[in-house]
Amino acid sequence: MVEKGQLAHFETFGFLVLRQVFSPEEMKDIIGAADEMWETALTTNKKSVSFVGGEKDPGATSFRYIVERQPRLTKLAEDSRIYDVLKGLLGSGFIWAGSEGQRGRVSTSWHNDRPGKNQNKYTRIKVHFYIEPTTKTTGALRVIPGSHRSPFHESLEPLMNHHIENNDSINSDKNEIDRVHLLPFGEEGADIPCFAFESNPGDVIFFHQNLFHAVYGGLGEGRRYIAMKFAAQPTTDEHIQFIKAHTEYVFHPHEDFLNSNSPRIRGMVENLEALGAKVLK
Amino acid sequence: MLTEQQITQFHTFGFLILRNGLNAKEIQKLNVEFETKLTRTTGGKSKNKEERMSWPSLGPDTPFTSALLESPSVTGIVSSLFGDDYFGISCNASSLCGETNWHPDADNLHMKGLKVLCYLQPLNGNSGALRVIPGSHINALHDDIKSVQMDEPEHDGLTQVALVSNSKSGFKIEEIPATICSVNPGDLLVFDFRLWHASKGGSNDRRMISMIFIKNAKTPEEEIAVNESVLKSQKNRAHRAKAAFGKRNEQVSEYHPNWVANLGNNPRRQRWINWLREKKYF
Repeated sequence: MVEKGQLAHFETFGFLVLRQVFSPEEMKDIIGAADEMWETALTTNKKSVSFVGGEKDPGATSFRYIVERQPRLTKLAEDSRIYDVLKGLLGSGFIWAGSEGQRGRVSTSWHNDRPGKNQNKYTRIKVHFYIEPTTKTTGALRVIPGSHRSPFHESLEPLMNHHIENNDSINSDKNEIDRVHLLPFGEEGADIPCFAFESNPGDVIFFHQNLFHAVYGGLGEGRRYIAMKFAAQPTTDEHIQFIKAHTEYVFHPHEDFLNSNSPRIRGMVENLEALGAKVLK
Repeated sequence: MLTEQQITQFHTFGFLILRNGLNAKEIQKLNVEFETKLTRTTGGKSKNKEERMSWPSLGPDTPFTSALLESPSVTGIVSSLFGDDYFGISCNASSLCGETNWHPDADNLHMKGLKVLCYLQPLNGNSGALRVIPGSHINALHDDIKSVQMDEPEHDGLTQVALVSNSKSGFKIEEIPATICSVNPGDLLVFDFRLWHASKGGSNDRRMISMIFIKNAKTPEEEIAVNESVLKSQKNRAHRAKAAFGKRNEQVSEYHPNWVANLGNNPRRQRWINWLREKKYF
């Protein structure tokens, strides 16, 4: 259930924060389940892990399908405290678009997850659960409120230059042209105007994936979060092309979800393979 | 003068903070003039009650503050953003208190105006620093904010330029996602009239110098927007001046005769005076 004010907040600012959705006891179980998955992945199933930090942060890992593979985490996707909110934000028929568990990543420069013309017309939402307390300078997700909408969204696209070049610290030897290219507003990424989602375990943020977001200042190896991704029911060929362009794996959902006993879980994935076939035509 | 990147930042986010735009000596002069004026007004007693006070600073009793409106430190910023076709409208000093609800200074998006603020004390999110919603000077964000339910405390009504959805169960000032403009004395905060802003917390004597500039209207829509803004600001400032000084028989005219006389024959000031007279500021 989403209240009118919450919906207006999401549509206006591109995100919604719910505080203390999960109790400390529930978080303990969630964290325990995630840790088990991480340890297993790093020791026996390394193919499921991506090293996403590059040279700067070699220990940073992203674990795909973390929610699909662990029943204790799968419950999060159908939990009414999450599911009903998504239904309010995305409408009926929304689909599953994957999950990941990240840890150890120190910073991520300004970007949006779904760049491209008209991409922000198709709503896709990422739900983050942070496992440690975060503050603006210790790993909190920073967002630029309202940046999922045009024309503000397009005016921020120069920020992506920095992200694309995967260079979080500007080399002082770079010439002025490079600095203008990488710092389009004359400020380092950490100084770009934003709102920092400072959180405690149990808090949840739902954000539009076209919202510009970043992280500056992390917690080293300790920074961990679980993310679930969802999308509005695709109703046009353009929507399907958008999914294909960024997340083609959506069309090949995890078998544990396809065979789930939960109508909610199955409902989010059971028609996706057919949509994928349409893409392949 | 601003860099190309600073100009882009202002037009994209609707505001800009220029660190150390004024030096320590200049801040000291502003403080002395502020203190003198405040002490005279309060009869030597310290200002300890919740009263917002604001007074024009274009008279001979505050010469340094008055000159700020035409100083290169400030006009260089305005020229970078508006070119040379703009008007200096006012230079006020304020002793602020309490909180200020979310509002823009102009709701007509054809309006091209800006404020330059200089706070005389360090301020952060807990002590009354200005909060702004970056990018809210343009649509869709500017108008969308009106649909977000806000819990608006009682206020004097002067800041209600744009109506929001007011609800006791709405978001409190600090719950609206914003950038907190933490500043130190000497920093200059420049923001577009159309930007949504607010403040929360702080002492009952937060000291601020504010200067207002309006870009000359180029289209009929801009002309209408300027006239709306002029009318609103005239009412607001007259109300505040009367509230702060009316009972004390202080002169409440925004523009001191000496400033209007323009004894130095400054052509830029004369152009501003002509425009202000045309708009019936005096």
